[in-house]
Amino acid sequence: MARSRQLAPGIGRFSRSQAAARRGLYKGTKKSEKPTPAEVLATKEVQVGGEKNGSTRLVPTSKAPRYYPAEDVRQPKKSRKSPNPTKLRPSIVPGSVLILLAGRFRGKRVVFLKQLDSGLLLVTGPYKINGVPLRRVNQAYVIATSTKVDLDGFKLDPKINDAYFAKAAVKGATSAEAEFFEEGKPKLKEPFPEAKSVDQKGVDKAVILAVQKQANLAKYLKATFGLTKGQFPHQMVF
Amino acid sequence: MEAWTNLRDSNFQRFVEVGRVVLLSSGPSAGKIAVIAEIIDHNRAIIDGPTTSVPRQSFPYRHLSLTPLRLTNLPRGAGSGVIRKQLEKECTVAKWDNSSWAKKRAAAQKRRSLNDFARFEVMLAKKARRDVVRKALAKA
Repeated sequence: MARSRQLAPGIGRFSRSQAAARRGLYKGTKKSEKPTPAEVLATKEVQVGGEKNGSTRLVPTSKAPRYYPAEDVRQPKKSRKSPNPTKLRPSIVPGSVLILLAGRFRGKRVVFLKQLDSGLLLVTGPYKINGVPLRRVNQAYVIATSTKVDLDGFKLDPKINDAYFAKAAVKGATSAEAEFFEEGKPKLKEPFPEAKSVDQKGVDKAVILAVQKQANLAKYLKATFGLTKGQFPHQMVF
Repeated sequence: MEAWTNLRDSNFQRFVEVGRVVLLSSGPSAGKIAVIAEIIDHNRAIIDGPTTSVPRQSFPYRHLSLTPLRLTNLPRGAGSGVIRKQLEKECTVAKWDNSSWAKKRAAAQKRRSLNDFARFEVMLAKKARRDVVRKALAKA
């Protein structure tokens, strides 16, 4: 950019390739030696049958493709941009009560625990109170309320991260038949992993204790959110 | 004076008149009360609210509501000082605050400022009240 004077913010005087040429990095001495590729002969000799064919013939080692595009198609340039880490809304802090707006728990009020590396929010119902398990949600599908559960001194087990919620990968191809049926009968539902339910209880214990300190808060979490006549979410205080 | 007595015979109770206390419904002073100091024409009046921090200004009738309150014997075009003195003497602001209209407005304002949890607690309180009323009614 230094050689490419800015005409307007983000627009340089020179194109990307012009600026690169000016930087002249190609002039520098090459520090690493490229390994010499093994030589591949362009043609090879093959035996041919038939008396009048001269018994051998030189043929190209790799056959030229029978099809080639009539028009040149440019290779799209690789993007060097990478997404920024998700910013947490300032209204959401650990202990905030959130209202879920999408998914099978829509309308439920849950407690926010922390933001995971993927940018998703880790929430819990707590499960005992309203049936919402430890779960990841996108902050776009959430209303943050100003109500807070006091989670001071609460330490979340570091093993509860994005990988914790990932589905176990199934190796190899599986048929749709094998996915749902076993010996001609519908497959029984897999039981919820014991370890995960222990984790759930461990997390919820501290949260429930904090919830019970405030009157009506448990009732509030148990109730679902809904709009009634004359209520418009953009005009309401949460 | 003839016309005055005729007005009092009218079915209407509140008039645009000098000394009428009005509730402003728009502008920076919306929601505050003021007093009509002088009538400009059939669209606007000069209003003033020295005790309710409404600056003296011309104000359209379309954006104000007439209240039942009125300053008695306010002279036409009275200045802020005179209006303030009369307002304080007649305790008009206190009268307004005690009116059911003002109380309803205050309650609506309070409700609007409640957060989700407070709304839920109001719901609980209303349920409890309903319970008490129904039980008392069943007994009676």
